[in-house]
Amino acid sequence: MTELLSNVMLGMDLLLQWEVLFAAAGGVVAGLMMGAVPGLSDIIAICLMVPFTFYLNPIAGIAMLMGLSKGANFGGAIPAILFNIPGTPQAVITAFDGYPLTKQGKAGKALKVALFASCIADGISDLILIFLAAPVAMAAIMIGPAEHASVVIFALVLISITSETGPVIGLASMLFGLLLSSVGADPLSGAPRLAFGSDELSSGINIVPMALGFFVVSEIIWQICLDKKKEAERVKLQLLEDQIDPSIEQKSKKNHSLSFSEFKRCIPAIGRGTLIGSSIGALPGIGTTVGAYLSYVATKKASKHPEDFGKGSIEGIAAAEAGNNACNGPNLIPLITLGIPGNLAAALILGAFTMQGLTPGPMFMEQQAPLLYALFIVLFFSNFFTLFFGILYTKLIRKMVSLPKNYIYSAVLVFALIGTYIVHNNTFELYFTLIFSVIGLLCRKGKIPMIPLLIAYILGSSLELKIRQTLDLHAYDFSVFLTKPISCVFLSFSVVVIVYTIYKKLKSKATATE
Amino acid sequence: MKRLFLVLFLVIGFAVNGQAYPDRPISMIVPYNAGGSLDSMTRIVVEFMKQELDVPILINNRPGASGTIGAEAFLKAKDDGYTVLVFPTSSFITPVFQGRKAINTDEFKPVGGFIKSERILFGRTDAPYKTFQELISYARENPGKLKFGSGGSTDTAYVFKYILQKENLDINVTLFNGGAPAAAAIMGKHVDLIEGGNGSPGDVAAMAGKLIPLTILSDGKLSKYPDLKTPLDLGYEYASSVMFGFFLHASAPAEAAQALEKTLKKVLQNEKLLEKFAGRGVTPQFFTGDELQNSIEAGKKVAKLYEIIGE
Amino acid sequence: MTRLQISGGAIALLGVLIFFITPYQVNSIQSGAFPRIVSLCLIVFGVLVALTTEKSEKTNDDIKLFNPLLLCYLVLVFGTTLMIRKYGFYPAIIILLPSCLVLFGERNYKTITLFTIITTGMIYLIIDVLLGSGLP
Repeated sequence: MTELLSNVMLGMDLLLQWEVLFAAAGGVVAGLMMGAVPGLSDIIAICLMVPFTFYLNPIAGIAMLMGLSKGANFGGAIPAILFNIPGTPQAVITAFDGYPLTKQGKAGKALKVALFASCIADGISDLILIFLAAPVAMAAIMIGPAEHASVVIFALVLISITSETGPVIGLASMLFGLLLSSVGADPLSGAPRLAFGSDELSSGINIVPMALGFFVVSEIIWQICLDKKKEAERVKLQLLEDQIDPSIEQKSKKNHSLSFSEFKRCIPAIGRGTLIGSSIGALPGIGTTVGAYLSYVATKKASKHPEDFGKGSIEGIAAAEAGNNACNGPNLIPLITLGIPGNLAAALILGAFTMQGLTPGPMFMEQQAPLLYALFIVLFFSNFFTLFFGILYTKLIRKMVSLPKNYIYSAVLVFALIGTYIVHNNTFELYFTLIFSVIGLLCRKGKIPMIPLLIAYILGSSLELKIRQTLDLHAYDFSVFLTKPISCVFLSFSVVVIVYTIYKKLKSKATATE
Repeated sequence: MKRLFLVLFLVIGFAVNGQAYPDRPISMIVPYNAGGSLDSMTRIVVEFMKQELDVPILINNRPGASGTIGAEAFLKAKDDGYTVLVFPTSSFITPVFQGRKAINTDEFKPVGGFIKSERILFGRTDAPYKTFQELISYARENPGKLKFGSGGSTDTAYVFKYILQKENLDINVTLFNGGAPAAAAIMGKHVDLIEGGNGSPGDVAAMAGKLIPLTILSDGKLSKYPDLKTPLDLGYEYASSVMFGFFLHASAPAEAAQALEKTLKKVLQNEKLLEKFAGRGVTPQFFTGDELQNSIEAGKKVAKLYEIIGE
Repeated sequence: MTRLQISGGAIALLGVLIFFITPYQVNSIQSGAFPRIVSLCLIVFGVLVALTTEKSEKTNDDIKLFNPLLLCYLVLVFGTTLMIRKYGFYPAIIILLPSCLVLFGERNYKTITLFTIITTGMIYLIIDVLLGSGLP
C-alpha cells in the first residue's frame, strides 16, 4: 500500500504539468463534440486525433486520447436523447428512455441523468482499474477461445429473449445478425466468403457503416415519413406525440433540472450498471453495447416501475449510460497488465503508447510505475472534466431541440455519410450504409427487434472465430465446449433459457386457442 | 510591375531547378488502420523524412482485405512519384493463402525498407521443453497434445505447418487475428505455442521472462536472442520474410526513387529517431530496394507452401 | 396473417436462400460451416416466429413501405453515394442538403441556401482544416 502511495505521489509530479491537464481537457472537449455527431464514434475520434498526439509529450498525448474516448462515449448519448439518433452504437440503448423524455420536454433532465450516470460509473470503473488490475487481468486470461465463445452465446441469448417484441422473434433477429456478420470474410483465414467476387466486400462490412445505415439513416427516413403521414392525417395528437410544445420548453425550468430525490432513485441503477459494465468490460471483445443493454434489462427487471421503461424512465437512462461507461476502465486492464488490447479503442491507444516509445506489457507496471500512475490519475480526473464540460455543453446543445427537425435530419444525414467514409477512407462503403438502411427500414416495418440484430452483428465474427479456434485446437472434438467448466456452465444456461422461453410461449399460445 | 514579374519568374525558376524532387506534397498510402503497429512506426519515420525533404507528407490510411485495398488504391494513383505505398512484403502473398489472386509485384518499384520483422516461436515457461529440439522430440512422443496459435501471420503459420509435415508431427494449429489475442491465449494456457513478431505482445512477455523463445521462423537472426536459429539454418527450405518498406509505381521517375531512398537512409541514422523506437523490441534499419525485392522473392517461395500443404 | 408472421416467414426464406448460396461462395468446408449452421437455425426460428405469434397488435407509428417519400429518400441517398464516388463530397453535399429539405416540405429558399452554405462550411472547417484528413 505504501508503494502504491509513493507511486501515486510520483505520478502526481509528472501530472502537474499544465500541458497534461490541458491535453486531457482538450481531449474531453473534442470527444464531446465528435461523439455528439452521429457517425463519429469514439474509435473514429481516436483515429483522427492520433496524429496530433505525436506533437505532445508521451503523458500528454495519451491523456488526450483517454479524455477523448471518455468525452466521445458520453457525447454519443446527446443526439440519442435529443433526436433518437445515437451518436455511437452503444448509445442506442440510451435512446430508449432518453428520447421519450425529450418528447415530454425534459431533455435537460435526461441529459443530466446520462451525464451523472456515465461520469460516476466511469470513475468507479477507473478505480477498479487502478486497484484491481492484477487480479482482474488474471481472471480475464482464464477466458480462452472456448469460454469466450460460450460467454458470447450466453450474452446473445439473454439479449434476444429480453427483446421488446418477444423472445422468439428476438432469437430469429439475432440469428439474422449472425448471418449478416458472416458475409464478406472468413474470420479465421481471411478468405473471401459470400463476397460475390467483390474486393471491397472481402474484408467484411465494418460496424460503423452498418450501424449508421441500420440505425441512423433508416431512423431519419422513417421519422420523416412518419411526420409527413401524421401531418397529412392531421392527427390532433401530433403536438403531444412528436413535437415539443415551445411553451413547455420555455416555462418549466423544473423539467430540465434533476432533483435530489430523482438522483437518489437512480443510484441503484447506476450501481448495477457499473457492476455489469465493469465485468463485461474486463472480458476482451464483448463490448460496451452489450454492457449497456444487459444493465438496462437488469434494472428494468429490478425496478419498481418496469412499465415506465421505454416511456421516459430516468432509471433506464442511468442504467444504460452506467453500463456503457463502466466498460471503459476495465477495458484497459488487459492492455496495461498484459499488453493485450481488449477492444479496438484499446488497440488504438496501444498504438499511441508504442508511438511514444512505451510498450505496455507484463513489465510495464514495474518499469514505468510513476508514468502509469500518472495515467491512472489522468484517467480518473478526466471524469471531472467530462462532468464540467458536459454540463456546459449540454446546456448549450439542449437548445438544439427547438431547431426545426428537418434541418437537423438533413445535417445528420450528411454527417452519417461522412462518418461512413472516414472509417476506411473508402467511398465504396457508402453502399453498405445504403443497404443497411434498407434492412433497417424493413426491420422497423416488420417489427423485427433491432438490438439483437445489431449486437449479433458486432459479435458474430468473433463468435465464429472463437468456435473454430477451439475446434482447431482440439482436433474438431465438439465435446470440449462441455468439458471445460466455465464454458459448460454458460452453454447450459443458454440452452435452458431458450427451451424454457419457447416452451412457455408455445404453452400460452395453446391455452389461448383453446 | 514588370520588374516584380521578373523577380517572381526568377524565384520560381530557381525553385524548379534547385529542387527537382520533391517540389510538392507527397501522399503516402498506409493500408492499415491509423494507430496500428505499422501505422505508428511509419508515422515516426515520416515525421523525420518531412523535415529532410522539406515538403508535407500526408498519410492516407486505406485499410481492408489484408492490404489489398490500399495496394489497389496506390496502383490507381498517378505514377509521378508523389504517391508512395508503405507495405510489408509479406502482404504481397497474403491473398494467396486466402485463395485469392496474388498481387502482381512487377507493378511496384521497391524504394527502401526501414524495418525487418522476425517471426519467433514462443513456448510456455512451464513446458517440459526449453529448446526447439526438445520441443520436436516432445511433440513426437505426445502426438495431438500440443496446440499452436499463429499470431496473425499466415505465411509463418504455413512455414510451421511445413516443419510439422517434414518432421511428421501432430500438433493442432489455429490462427489468431493478431499478436495480442495469441499472447492472451498462451498466457491463459489455452495454447502451448505461439508465433509472433519481435515487438509483439508475445515478444514483450518473453523479454520479461514470461515466455520462452524457441526458434525463429523467418529468415533473419536476432541479436537479442543470439542462440535462436532460423529454419534455413535448421535445414528446412522455407522461411517467412517480413520487411516494411516504401514502394513506388514501377513506371515512376527514377529520380523520385533515388531521392526517397537517400532520405530514408539518412533519417534512419538519426539518433532521435532511434530513440523513439527504443523499448519496442524493433530496431529500424535501412535496407536497399534490392534487399526489399529479395524479401518479396522469399515470400513468393513461401506462398508455394499453400499448394504443397493445402488448407 | 400478422406482421410478425410475415417477418418470420421472410426470415425463414432468407435462411433457405443463404443455405443454398453458401457452398458456391466459399473456398473450404470449414469456411462455409458457420453460415450454413446459422441459416439452418434461422429457418427453424423463422418458422417458430410464424407459429408462436398470437394476434396482430395495432400501432399508430407505422408507414407504408411503398411510400413515395420513403422511396424518394432512398433514391436520394443512393444518388448522393454515386455523386460522392464520382465528383467528391462537397458537390454531393451541396445538392443533397437542399433537396433533402425541399422533399421535407421546406419552402423558404433563403434559409435553405443559408443552411447549406453554413453546414458545408462547417464540415470543411472541422474535417479539412481542424482534423486535416481531407474529403475527396
